Amino acid sequence: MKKTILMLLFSFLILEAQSLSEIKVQSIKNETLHLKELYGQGALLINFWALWCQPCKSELPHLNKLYEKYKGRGITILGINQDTPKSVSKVKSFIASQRIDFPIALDSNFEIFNKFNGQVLPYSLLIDRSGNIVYRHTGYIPGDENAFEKEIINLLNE
Amino acid sequence: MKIRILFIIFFLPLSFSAGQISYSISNFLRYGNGERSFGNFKGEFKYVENLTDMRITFPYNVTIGGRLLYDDPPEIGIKYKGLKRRFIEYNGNEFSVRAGNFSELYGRGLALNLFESRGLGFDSWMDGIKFNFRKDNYSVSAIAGVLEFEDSIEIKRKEDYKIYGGNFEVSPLNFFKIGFTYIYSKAEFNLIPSNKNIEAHLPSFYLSASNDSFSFLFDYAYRSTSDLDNKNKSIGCGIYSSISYNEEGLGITFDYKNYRFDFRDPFEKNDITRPTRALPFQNAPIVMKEHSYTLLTRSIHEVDFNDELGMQIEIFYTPNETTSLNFNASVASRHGYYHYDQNNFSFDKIESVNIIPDLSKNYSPYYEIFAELEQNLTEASVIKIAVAIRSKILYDEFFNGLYNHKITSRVIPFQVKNIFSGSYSVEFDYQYESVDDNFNAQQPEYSNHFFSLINMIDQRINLTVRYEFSTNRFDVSGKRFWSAFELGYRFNNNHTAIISYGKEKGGQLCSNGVCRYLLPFEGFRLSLLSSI
Repeated sequence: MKKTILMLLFSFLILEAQSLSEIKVQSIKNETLHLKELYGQGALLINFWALWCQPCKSELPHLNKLYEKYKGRGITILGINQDTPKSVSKVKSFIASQRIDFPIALDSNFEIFNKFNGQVLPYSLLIDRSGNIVYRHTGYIPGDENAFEKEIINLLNE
Repeated sequence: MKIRILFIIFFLPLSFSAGQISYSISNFLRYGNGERSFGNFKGEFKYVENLTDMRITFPYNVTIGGRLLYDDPPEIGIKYKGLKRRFIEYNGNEFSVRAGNFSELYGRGLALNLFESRGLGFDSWMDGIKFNFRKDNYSVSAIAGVLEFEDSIEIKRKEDYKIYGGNFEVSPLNFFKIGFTYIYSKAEFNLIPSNKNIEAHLPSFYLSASNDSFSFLFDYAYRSTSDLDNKNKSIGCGIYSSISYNEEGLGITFDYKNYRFDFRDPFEKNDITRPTRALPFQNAPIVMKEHSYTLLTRSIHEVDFNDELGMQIEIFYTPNETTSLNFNASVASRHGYYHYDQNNFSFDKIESVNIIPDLSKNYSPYYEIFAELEQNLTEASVIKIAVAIRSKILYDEFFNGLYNHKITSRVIPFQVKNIFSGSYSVEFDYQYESVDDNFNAQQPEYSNHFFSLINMIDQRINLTVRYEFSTNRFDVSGKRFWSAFELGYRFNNNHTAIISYGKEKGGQLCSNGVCRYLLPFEGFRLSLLSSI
């Protein structure tokens, strides 16, 4: 009897679970961004990048174009920078020069990157409105932005 | 028993599929089989590394995770087989706690910056407990645990630290933040013939202010280290500051470092086991450019966190949609030097009161100037050209400057990229370096040339050919020519395989859409990266 009650309780606990909802990041504009609020608007594309990573820098302008095209439909892009204290002071300057409009957060300690089990850069994740990771992408080759757009369109059509 | 089995069969998968328990796993396998050479010595070299990172998130934001590591033999670092990392953490809205292995950063890392760099064989993660609380405009953090540090290059260096500390940060105004850190550590250095025991105190404070256009940061750390066996005490301090101005299309950052954690005479300076040096959990900004061009990633200057003064300015400017300019200048030197008194067989300390670097050769100066232009010729093609001038003098304190090591390098990288169709693109890289190194006595002047051709087909296949040669007939590797062929394949967005064969001189290489730091090697390499 006790075992049955314990299992039922466990089942109840399982039904109450969440995963990404409590992750918060600090943007370079000193705003606290809650991932739940970002993906809750429609979907969220998280892109991990760094200044020393050439493919990352090549990818950013394409992500900015996607952001401009779909932000009105609830799609947000969040760039999470992985530069360590070695060069993190330059991130804001670089972003300003590239005219990147989507929010950028700093993760100098790789805390957020490790939460998503990132291994190499660039690393991107697409999260749907419910907080599920529906798409992962490692690296950037010219043309990869088309794959992101295709996944975004799929989500919007659901 | 039947009920338990039914529960496992029905409820757990339902929970996973319904997302109540979520998981993520990534795996990185690296294998190499070939040779390494140093001068005339050549030896077989093989490495096998497999790293699996796992996270499982349960109800109420509880996560357990770990890393299974198989590094036997490793490419760099210490051999290891087993559960390298494990932790359990709770992440609430305002409060989080983690028990197990963790990394942490306070301020800009002058007092505490725990991190891992597998490419360099450096790992300063702790094992203990970490607590964070954040509410409205303030946050509090505390850590306690142990750090078992082993230097993968200086193999004599094995140190065990007990570390306790915390950080308090408050934003009294929206654009202004101030933080205080205190770290206490007790450590044992495992040395022959006898161990050393030390105790260190590191108070630190930082403040930052920023709005849309300006950002300012100042970080100061003080360190007091007591050698408990000899009753000696050493004190030092470090300052880092940065200021930046940003507007649409333009960003300028200026940063400054003044690290005086342990200013020592030439004999003590070379003792890597001395207890007074900057500790492995202190990792401050380098105030130098981190490059992505392969030849420039082979740095000629190693930052000395114990004694270095430096400045850097970096400008990013994009005048229009098709043109980007980047300029960087950095300079560094020591605070002073030692003069050897041959009559008394002793060193006299000569220390400058300058707060900016001194370019006189006695102060072991380093400088670098870098400029880069990136131009989109059409929607499908991009050209990049850069130039870098670097110079380093290492003052010879034993013979009062008679045998200074002076090295200068001029690097010109050139890159052109073209997308021929939606499914085919090509990137060509050429990097030229001319070097003047007086320690390469038989041939002080020589040049290095690096070529790379990357073909990207159908977003799946990546074919790369790399060729490098040097006119230096006395390179430490004993070689003058290096060439490698690499094939990368993306099975889908979660799995990528890269195989390569040939001779590599090493450095940072970007291909297959990612960048990696590779060590010198000759032979066959395989990498498999997966994440689910």
